[in-house]
Amino acid sequence: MQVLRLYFRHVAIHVRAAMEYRASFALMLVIQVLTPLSALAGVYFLFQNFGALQDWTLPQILLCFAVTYLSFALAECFGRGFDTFSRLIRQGSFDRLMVQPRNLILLTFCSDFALNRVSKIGLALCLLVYAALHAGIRWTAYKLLVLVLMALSGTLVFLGVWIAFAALCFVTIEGLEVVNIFTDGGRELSSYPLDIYLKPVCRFFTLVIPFGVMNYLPLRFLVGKAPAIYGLSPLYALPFLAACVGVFYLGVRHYRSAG
Amino acid sequence: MRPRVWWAVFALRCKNALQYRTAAWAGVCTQFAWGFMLIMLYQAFYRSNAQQSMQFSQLVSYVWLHQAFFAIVNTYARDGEIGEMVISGQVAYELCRPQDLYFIWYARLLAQRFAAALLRFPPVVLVALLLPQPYGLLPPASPWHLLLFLLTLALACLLITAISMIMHTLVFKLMNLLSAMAVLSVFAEFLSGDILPVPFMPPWLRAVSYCLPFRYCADLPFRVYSGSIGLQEAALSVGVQLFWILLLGLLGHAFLSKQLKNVVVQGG
Repeated sequence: MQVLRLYFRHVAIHVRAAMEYRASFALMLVIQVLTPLSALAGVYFLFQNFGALQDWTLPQILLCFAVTYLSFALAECFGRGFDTFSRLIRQGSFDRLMVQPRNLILLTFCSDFALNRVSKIGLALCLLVYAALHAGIRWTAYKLLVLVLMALSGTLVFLGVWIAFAALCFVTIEGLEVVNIFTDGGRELSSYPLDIYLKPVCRFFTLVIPFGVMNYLPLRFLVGKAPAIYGLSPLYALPFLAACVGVFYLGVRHYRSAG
Repeated sequence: MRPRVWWAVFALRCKNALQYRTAAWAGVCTQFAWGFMLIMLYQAFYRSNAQQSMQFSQLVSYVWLHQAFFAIVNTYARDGEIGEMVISGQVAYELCRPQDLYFIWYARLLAQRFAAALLRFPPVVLVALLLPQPYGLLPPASPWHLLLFLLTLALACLLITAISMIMHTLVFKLMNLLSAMAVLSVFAEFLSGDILPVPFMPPWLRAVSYCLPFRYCADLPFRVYSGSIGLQEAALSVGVQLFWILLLGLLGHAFLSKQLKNVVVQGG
């Protein structure tokens, strides 16, 4: 409880700070929805052109797309501290966190909060509801639960990837651009169901970096292509996140200050 | 008008940018990953319906060339130093020089794109040529197509730099490089065919993109290479490119002069 109270105290501070620059904040809200909208237009026009993507319909793809973007935006909003972790290291701010008597991961979460992602979250939620109603799925309580699990597990996977790569910053100091292949690239890749890609790619992003468990596998259950047990695959995000946290602490042990 | 000075700025900036080898390798890796992802995605789409205005092999060439010369066509590329200069007031020193600032900054931005592309394109093109079909880059449709590809690509580089100059000048008005460019960049990116190749756009949007300068920065050269745009249309498009370079150059020059007249530098 105390942990949550501490976290939300920090969130309140970040929100107040953002509200000091209202015009800039409003502009950021607009900018944040432009990129997903342009990606969405791309998907829509491709479908108009080709008519179908293997055996997936447009609303089903949109459901996939919405889950990915919702998860990514949620992860960006809450996990901004890990997204820009190299800055913490370079400025020496991480040293300051280390002398505070609290959990390091909690403190990094507290270090930043990106309120301006709410517009992106809102857009993704609207799209999710639209796609869920038009994807030809007969919704039951279990299926709704699976849908919630999908969005949550996606957030955890993106956070996990950032946390694991943050550990890399302990060694490299600078942020690595190559990492974007797995974060931004992962987002683009998993906005479509993974079975349209080559088998090894599909397997890698289901088992090793499990973007597939947030939409592809459970979506197969939702549209009736796989048994009900597939609906629980998002739970795989938990052991993945645990492994990433393990990697992070391994990095902390080898950390020498750069500040 | 001092072409020698412009050349000196260009050469210096190029040498500067050529130092960032590690960043270039990271760029090449990213470009490969994106290229493969896009090709697999389009392959799945073509499996569903292969009757398209663009053949799959032409699309593959389009994707690889786009990745190889990404540094040239990237609408998000920005020179942080210019933004810094304007906001911090350093720009006053730039104004002390007896030079037209437009051309100095133009040479800077051009060098940035040119040098970044020079480092990145050889490995991407080389490997893409060696890849097995249908994933590999095919040779150009004919020597003439290759020639026109190179010409339109060079002009595209000049054109996008002219567009970029206008975006950078906006900093005088908005005082924030990132937000000034972000909005424009998204539209420019979409209309130049970066998100969705122009042939896949619905007719009305294709018409819009043909009326604006952005597709002449990316879509044109990459489709000329594979023969998706014929020689005649390509030759005509060179004229359109020249028209846009001249128009946007003049507009950008006037815009910058106007902003510089009103510039307020604070502090001492």
